[in-house]
Amino acid sequence: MRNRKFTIALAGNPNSGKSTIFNNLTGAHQHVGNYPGVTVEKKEGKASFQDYEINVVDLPGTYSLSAYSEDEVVARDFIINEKPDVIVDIVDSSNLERNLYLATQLMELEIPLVLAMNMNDMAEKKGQDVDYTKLFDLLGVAIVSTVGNKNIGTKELLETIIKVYEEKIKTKVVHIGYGPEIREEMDKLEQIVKKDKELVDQYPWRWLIVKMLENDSSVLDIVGKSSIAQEAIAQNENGRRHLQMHFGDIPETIIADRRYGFISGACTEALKPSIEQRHDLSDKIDKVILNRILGIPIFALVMYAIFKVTFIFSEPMVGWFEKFFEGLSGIATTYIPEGLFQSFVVDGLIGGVGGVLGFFPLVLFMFFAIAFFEDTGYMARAAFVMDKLMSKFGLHGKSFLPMMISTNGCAVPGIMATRTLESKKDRLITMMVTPFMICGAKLPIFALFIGAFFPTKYGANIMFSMYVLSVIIAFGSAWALKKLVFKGETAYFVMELPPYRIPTIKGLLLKMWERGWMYIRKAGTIVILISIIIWAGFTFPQYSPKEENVSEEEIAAVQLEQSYAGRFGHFVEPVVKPIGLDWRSGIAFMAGIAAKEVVVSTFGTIYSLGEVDPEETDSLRESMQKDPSWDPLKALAFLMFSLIYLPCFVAMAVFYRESGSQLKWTLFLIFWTTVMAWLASFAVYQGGRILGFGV
Amino acid sequence: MEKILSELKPKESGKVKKIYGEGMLHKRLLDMGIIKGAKIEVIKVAPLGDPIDIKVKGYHLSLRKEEAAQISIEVN
Repeated sequence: MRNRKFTIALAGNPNSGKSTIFNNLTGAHQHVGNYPGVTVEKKEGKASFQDYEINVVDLPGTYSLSAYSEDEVVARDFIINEKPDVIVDIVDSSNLERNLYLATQLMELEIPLVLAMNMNDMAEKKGQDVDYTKLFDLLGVAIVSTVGNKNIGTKELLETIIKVYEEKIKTKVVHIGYGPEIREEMDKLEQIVKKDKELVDQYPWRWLIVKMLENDSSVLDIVGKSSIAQEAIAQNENGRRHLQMHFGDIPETIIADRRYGFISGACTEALKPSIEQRHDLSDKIDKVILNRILGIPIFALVMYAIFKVTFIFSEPMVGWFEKFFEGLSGIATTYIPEGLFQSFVVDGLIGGVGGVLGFFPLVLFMFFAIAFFEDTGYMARAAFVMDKLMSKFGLHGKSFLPMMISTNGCAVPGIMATRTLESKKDRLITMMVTPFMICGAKLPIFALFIGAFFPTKYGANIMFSMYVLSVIIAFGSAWALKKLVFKGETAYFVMELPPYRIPTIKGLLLKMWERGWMYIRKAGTIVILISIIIWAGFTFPQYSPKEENVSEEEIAAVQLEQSYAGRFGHFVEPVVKPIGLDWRSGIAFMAGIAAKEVVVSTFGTIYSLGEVDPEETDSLRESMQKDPSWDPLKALAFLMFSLIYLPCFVAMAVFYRESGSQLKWTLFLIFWTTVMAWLASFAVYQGGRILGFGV
Repeated sequence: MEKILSELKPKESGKVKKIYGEGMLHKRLLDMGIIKGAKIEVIKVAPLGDPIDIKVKGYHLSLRKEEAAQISIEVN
């Protein structure tokens, strides 16, 4: 029995159901990595079928293969450089024309192509009937009909992919009728380009010359570095000028025009005409969702529902997790003999990691809710409804999603998600303000403090107002950046409103898990490491009293104060004193720069080390409640500072890379967030005292 | 009658006559199917008055009025 391996790449428009097909093909065998050099996520998976092991690479969803957005460049570079054996283009059958536009460009790359006509059921409902044999004849590529969310056609798709791979079915070179004028310019370029053997060995020549005429910057770069650079560039400029004179329009327009013309021709022939339903269900839903009066209240309601539902559903599970880690601590205390090692396991490891993982259910519920609204198509509506407001603050309707992913999620994928923003200004501003959102790692801090110092019945509302506050701070910062830093720079908003869809449970769970995994991975690596360092910081140097009659309580207190961490805390105390906090908060904030989860685990360590009776394994929440040095106003000042100050180390590193490795933006971010955090907490604490709150 | 897309009211429709401007925005509009002769119908305006939702090539696309001002339409 043979076992053959090969690689396929999944391409397709956003909202074409590409990830569902990917999930169907690969099952749970997925793995998320990065493309070399860039931070666009690279999803890979394995499909085993018959005797084949197929490596499936999920390319970013794109509308085209121009070099305008980061995602498109990544998709294109992967195809050009890695040369997958087969490309599968996932086409939304109910939106055939625009989806085939990408196909016309993939066809020029001369790699075996399979079209998966997805969501065929929706297309049929719309009253569309495609003649596949005819479409095959016209396009010259293998075509399979699939319904991703019902897992229909997966087997046929795999069979076709293998057939195309085995028989090396070259995509029949169907010439898109660019017309005699463009053809003539192409011929001239072809002759020049083909002189460089190396160049045409590496890149499909037809693709090169079409892209040159389209004035594609990265292809011009490639050609510019070849041996025929001068001649080719000069000819191209000539040709473009000539075409512009002839058509009275730039060549890009004419080429796009011809591609769509080719598609229109194919569609007219292959689509059996039937009655076009003018208003489908999606349009009807939009009548309500995007209604002039209801649109914004519905948006607010959806956001509120996401938070409320998350908190209500996750509450019992968070409780179980807390109990579980308490139990674990109990077991460790019983079986490990008292001493340094016991303290290391119980206080360092279990205390640190437990503090983070305890809130994991909440994070998962939140990701599930976001994935749900993303996959139904509501998030695009949210961007549509909010764009006017967002653009007033220098943001973009789409800035909403990175901020949303960061909210309860993680600023790292959030910052990465800014790649869908095409203008530099929109991207930078969004990246700068995304870390202000309350991420999954800050969430435990809020949950802990609100749980400890405020009555349960107000919990959800205080939490919600914290979210509102984070949005206000983010928007305020964006506005300031727009006015001060990015004066006069423009950006645009062109976004698809995909039809509403019923998401699949599997798709939602996978998305939830993918983002949740990032949170866990951090807990598993950075947080464990930092927990150990912090534990050591508290434990050493060891304090042993000389007198006999010192109570255990006193020993613990002195130990805490004279430890390395305690000394450091005292060192920074003057800075946090005006905002109502003491040296312990100082340590927590510093530790939090490594990863925000560590703020909670630092308190975990502080309070478990200070515990007198090892049998009494109080939850951290209870220990803090009992501590007289806290009051709700101080807790609020603490939360305010945590909300705004520096993003964690990982987020800053990603920010640095994503901002084009410019140190000035990263330094600016650090300065901006720290100063704002301190001023805001100062205002809360001192203002609150003047108003008579607190002690 | 020729009109600028941003001036069209919901339910008004027409065919693309010309797209002004160059560069990124222009290319993006082309990629999204806004080419000469394409049928466009304005579906609705966002609750805050901007952006607008149009139907082109059978799907919904939203763009700001600022971008729509780059597109001239031969109104039916």
